[in-house]
Amino acid sequence: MTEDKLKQSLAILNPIRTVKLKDKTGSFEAILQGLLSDLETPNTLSVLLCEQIAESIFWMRRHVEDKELILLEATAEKIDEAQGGFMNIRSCTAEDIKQVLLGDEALKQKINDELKDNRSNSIATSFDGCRAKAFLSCAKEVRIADDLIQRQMLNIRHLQRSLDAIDMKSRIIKRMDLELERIERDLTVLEHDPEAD
Amino acid sequence: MTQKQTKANRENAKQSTGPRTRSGKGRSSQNSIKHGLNQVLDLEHDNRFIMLLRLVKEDGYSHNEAYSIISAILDHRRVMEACDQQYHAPKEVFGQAEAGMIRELEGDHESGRRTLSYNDRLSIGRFKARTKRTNERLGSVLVQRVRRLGKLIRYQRRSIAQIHRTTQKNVK
Repeated sequence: MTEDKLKQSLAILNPIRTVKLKDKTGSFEAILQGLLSDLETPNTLSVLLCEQIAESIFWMRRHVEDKELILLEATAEKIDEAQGGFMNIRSCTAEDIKQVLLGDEALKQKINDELKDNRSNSIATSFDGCRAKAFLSCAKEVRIADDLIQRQMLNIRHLQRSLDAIDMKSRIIKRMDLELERIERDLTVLEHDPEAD
Repeated sequence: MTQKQTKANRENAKQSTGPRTRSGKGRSSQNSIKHGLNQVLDLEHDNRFIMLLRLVKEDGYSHNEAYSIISAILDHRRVMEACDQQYHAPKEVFGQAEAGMIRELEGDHESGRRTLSYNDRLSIGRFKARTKRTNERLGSVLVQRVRRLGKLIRYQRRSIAQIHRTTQKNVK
């Protein structure tokens, strides 16, 4: 049943696709297909709106990833600075920070030891201190990323309301069509009523 | 820069009176355009619009209803396409071309093919410091991307509100 709906929706959408994203992961398609399979009465407008909703969900995920990466990179940069990083050679990467945040205590201890050993360190003497300093340095960008995420959430909410309205409209049209059909049928019956002769 | 150099620059600049050919003028007229989201949408010549309008009308919508909803959706598409473009834009780096020239000059100086005066080395040092400061201010690819996308939030707000308005109005 759901697969039939999906096929029906894709048949409507494929010739009129408006969203063209450079997405190699295929997550946009997965979101879109999930939304399309839930459509009760797919038509041009409803599949178009589903496409826009799927895009907003995709963008929201992108912004969340970016926000996380900004914080990780800023922390790595601060730790590098505190360790007295030489030229452009990075001793600590965003991936390392992610590992620490995921619970790699050994790596955290190693970073803390290196920070304490460096005498010219004027930034912070611990991983958490560097993280706090990094957050302060990129607070503005994090706020913009938050605004972008918030915007996508609002976009989704508005598009959902529009979809509800469109769906309602198509149902009203369908009901009116059925009503008209019934009236026409009744009329034909009246015209051919044998008792009327 | 000496007075003589300044004078020569001014004299040279007088000889340039901007683009002369039609295509050159066309190109330079686009110089100040950043994303074009404030321009009026040209729907009459858009094949996508014509096709969508026909299909939505086939679903039982009147011409005016279909026109307003489809134009709102296409306006939103324009904004989101600009967002995607900004998302994939390359990193802005200050002084990239000059850095190569400086490396070449310094290499020549070290190998003895060219002699750099004290003033030359001072200027190079200043330029390098300025480049470093500016690039730190510009930030990483991620930071630049978020800043660029942040500038497009208001356009998204406008286009989504338009879709919401047209769909709600046409149901009532």
